[in-house]
Amino acid sequence: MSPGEEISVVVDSASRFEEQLLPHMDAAYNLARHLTRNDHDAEDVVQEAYLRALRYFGAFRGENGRAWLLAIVSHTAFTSHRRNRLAVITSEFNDELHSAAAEHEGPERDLEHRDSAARLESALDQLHPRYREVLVLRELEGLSYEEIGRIVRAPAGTVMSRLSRARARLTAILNPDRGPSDE
Amino acid sequence: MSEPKLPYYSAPAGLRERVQSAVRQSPVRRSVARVPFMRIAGAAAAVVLLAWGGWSVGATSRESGAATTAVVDGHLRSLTPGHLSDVASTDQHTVKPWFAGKLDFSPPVVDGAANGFPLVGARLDVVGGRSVAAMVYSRRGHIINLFVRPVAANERATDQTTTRLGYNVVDWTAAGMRFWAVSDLNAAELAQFRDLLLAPRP
Repeated sequence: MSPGEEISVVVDSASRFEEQLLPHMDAAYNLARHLTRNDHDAEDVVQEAYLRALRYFGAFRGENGRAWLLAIVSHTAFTSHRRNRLAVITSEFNDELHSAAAEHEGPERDLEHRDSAARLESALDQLHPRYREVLVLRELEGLSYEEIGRIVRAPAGTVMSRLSRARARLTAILNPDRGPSDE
Repeated sequence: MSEPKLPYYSAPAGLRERVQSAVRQSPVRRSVARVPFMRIAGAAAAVVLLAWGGWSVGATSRESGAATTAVVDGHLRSLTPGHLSDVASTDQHTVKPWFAGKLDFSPPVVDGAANGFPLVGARLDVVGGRSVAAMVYSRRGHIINLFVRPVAANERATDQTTTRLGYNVVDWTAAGMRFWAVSDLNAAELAQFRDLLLAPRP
């Protein structure tokens, strides 16, 4: 490494944070929006997550900025005091328990929506945030089970089973007439 | 049935700017710059950094600041979608005539492609209430905005590097023009860019 390169690394470090993490703002917002289910809270979560990320940036090893940031977004969404409703729901979350169709029954509401996009939104509203989380990370971000596991703080096996339950639950909400699905 | 496709919510306009400004105002930011530095560089480089930092801070406080603020704002504005250039051309012979009739001066247009600073395009911008030429260059994916206007009456010659909001600003006067190069590119390479523009051309 030439002296010139050393200086460039040093000077770059001031904007390294922005270069590595700002490009992932869409991913951060998308996850936050799915978790909070509204624009305003999602923006708050994203902003708070970036500030937390800045605080912990020294621990970032430059491996996968998107996954690293998404872990902070998730943690922020689930722990922030202002969103304690989300936090309360989460503290009660249990993978086995929530696979049952018991939570958030609201089929009448579904029938009011003819539009499939609106029906999907409504179904997502009813889905537990921990389910929405793994669906987003897997289907929209395309992360591996291991990466998702690090974000949601669960073993990869739990991620896989939670994902399949999340899909089944979503399908069941969208198709209430089909009866409960075991897939 | 096929699986429902989840909606993807893109970050709304303005969020990036809000986050960026929150991040830049955070007191943590100052320490961030030092962490990787201490890991990477040795004591010799530390001296270089401290000297550079001290000089840079001093320069910032001496600088009137308004122009620096304006060019960094212009740089940030240019990075919002669709605002980078009004004429997208890598050809200096397209860019230079494009300015004719739009400005009351003819800015020097240089293509630094051969030196790793390709010209990307150009647009008009305003700095301190005056129309200026803004030329866009790129360097390894970093965008450089070069703002140029004629030297004002009783304006002193300048040649300095400052940092604002994490962006480096190299500011110099030459041949009756005042230049500001703004980028998130490191200061060393940005100075290299200035030297390229200062180099005599055939």
